Amino acid sequence: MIKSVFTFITTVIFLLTLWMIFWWMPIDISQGPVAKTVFIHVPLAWCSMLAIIAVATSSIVYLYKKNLFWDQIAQSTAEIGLIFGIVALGSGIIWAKPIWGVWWTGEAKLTTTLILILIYISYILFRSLYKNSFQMKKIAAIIAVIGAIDSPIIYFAANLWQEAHPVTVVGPLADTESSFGTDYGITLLVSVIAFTLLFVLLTNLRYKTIKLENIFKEKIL
Amino acid sequence: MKKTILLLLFISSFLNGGNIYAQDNDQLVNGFIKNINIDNENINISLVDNFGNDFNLNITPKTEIGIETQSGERWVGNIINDQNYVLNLLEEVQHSLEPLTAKYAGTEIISLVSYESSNIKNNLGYLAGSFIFLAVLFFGYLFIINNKLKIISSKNS
Repeated sequence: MIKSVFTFITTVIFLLTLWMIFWWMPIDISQGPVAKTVFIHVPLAWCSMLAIIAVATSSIVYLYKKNLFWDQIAQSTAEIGLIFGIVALGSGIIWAKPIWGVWWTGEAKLTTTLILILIYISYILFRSLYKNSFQMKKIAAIIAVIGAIDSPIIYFAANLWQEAHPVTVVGPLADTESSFGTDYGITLLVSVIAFTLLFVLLTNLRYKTIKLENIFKEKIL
Repeated sequence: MKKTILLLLFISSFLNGGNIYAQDNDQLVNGFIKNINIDNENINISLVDNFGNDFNLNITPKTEIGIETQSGERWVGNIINDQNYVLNLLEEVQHSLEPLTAKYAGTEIISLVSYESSNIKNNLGYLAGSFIFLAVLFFGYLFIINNKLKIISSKNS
């Protein structure tokens, strides 16, 4: 019942987000239609940073409590975080081409995001390549905790090394005289909520699959 | 059903004419410089658009300026950086009849840039590309997860 209500709310907010992006929001004056990429790029990047913190937190709890539940949560969050991170980086690359004239620059924000994706990949690869044991889970948890250091670096990167990527215009680091319009702010907020709900929904789905896989493996053994 | 609604929403978004607006109360004008005056720390310019309408606007210290020089380089800054240099650039632009794009609110210019000849509507394909990339990856992932579930349940049975 709770899951159905949650799915329904997520769907409604997602439809509302799409309506706001394509109908309600005017086309940006300086960048044209491609500026609307911000409504998928920022929420996805936010979710991928949130995911690595969630992976690290649940890994720490797992190391402390040795409860398999936390390890499975970390594993499922890492996979969804990777998907979100790839789409965030991909949408950024697509956005960069018409605005910056290049697909990729080696600037701080982009490089640190790429590093985050590589951390996710190494975490998932490590888990799949090594034998399912407590030792493997322990090392994977340590990788996740070290990897989470990248999250605040990504957040502060644009402000610390001011290069091509725009500095933070929303959140605690934002300039109060930011040119970010009210309508853009509202749409972005709704979009962030929609993607965060989707993130929770997908993580829950993946967690259940992992749980089933583990039960199945135990049965075989 | 949900997929159909999403698809319809996505497709119909391209049919929506798509007027280009400035944010909030900002307005936009493309035109040539007719006159330049200095008033204290501000520079007043008179722009004339394609239909002969005059716009008397002020360049304030807050105005963001991005003008291409004769050598083809783009100078970006404001009048706090160097008011005389900005004045020289504007005179150069006026004499060479180069069009400028001004975004303004009231009489204050927010940004003054060399006219962009590229049509910004052309980048719609990139927006579509982002959404397609998002859809492909998400639905692809869901497909993989669904397959995994199917395999587990079939092996279980």
